[in-house]
Amino acid sequence: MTEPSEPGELTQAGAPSANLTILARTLEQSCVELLRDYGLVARIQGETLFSDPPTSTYAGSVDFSGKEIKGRVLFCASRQVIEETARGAAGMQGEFSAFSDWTCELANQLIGRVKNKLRSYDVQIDVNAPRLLPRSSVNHAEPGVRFSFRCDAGTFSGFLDVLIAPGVVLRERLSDEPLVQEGDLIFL
Amino acid sequence: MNAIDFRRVLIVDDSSSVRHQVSKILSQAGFHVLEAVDGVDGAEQIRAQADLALVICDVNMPKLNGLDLLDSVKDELLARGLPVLMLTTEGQPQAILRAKKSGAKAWIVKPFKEHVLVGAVQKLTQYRP
Repeated sequence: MTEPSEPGELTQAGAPSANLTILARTLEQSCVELLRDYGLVARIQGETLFSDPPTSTYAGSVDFSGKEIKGRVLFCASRQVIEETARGAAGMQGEFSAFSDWTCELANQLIGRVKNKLRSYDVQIDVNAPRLLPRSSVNHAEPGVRFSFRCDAGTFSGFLDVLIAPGVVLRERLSDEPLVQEGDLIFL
Repeated sequence: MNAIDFRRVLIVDDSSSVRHQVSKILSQAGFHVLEAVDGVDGAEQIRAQADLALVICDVNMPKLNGLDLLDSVKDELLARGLPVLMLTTEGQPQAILRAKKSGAKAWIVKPFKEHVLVGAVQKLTQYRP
């Protein structure tokens, strides 16, 4: 993955780097697929680079780090979206009250998708346990990539705040190794 | 050696929502589900519950992650022939290989379909009502 290039700092203003474009598309695809798994069709409302993290009723945050990359992903959604995804989850029908915990699980599944997709670019990251963020504590000091979506249940956002080591260029690699997909069952 | 209760399953996950999901689905399929809230709790329950037929385990958990949990109870799993199903967002081949070497028998990447989970559990426990 490491190749000589101009620095790919993500916090620079101006035209986005190729790295940022790849990461942004990865986040967007992951958000859409995550909601689709719970029966919701996400329509993009806006993409904002270098914006402050969104504030929403519920926000789950997951930190990640790798050899040449580190950052965090946020999944922010309205109460209605959280409730509707729970209705679409196996075994979750009926009365639902675990909004905070389920928000964290959705953030966990979002970073899981991002992580699996980044393996195509030879990027391996370790992720921490998800945590719920109170609205007041969302960090405004580090802008990142934000996608806002609308679905039948309401609005939600995916946010990615990331630093990549200078000189690193993300390139998609061709591999014979089958990528494990969400929902897959493998007997070992 | 204690007799195994082929319906008795332990779910180890720090998410109460996931524990609820798995417990509800498997209870409806005839299983008796115990819950552990993290890797440390999971290790303690594996050692304490001698009649378990299966452990379902997340990977990314606080205190003790699922792969380290497997390593810590590897000998116990082998001695009892206790299978482990990893239920996780993780899809990294190295993680899957490491789990296999420590005794895991199956791996499901979240989110999961109900029939996939039930089918895997029935196969690993060899219990069908």
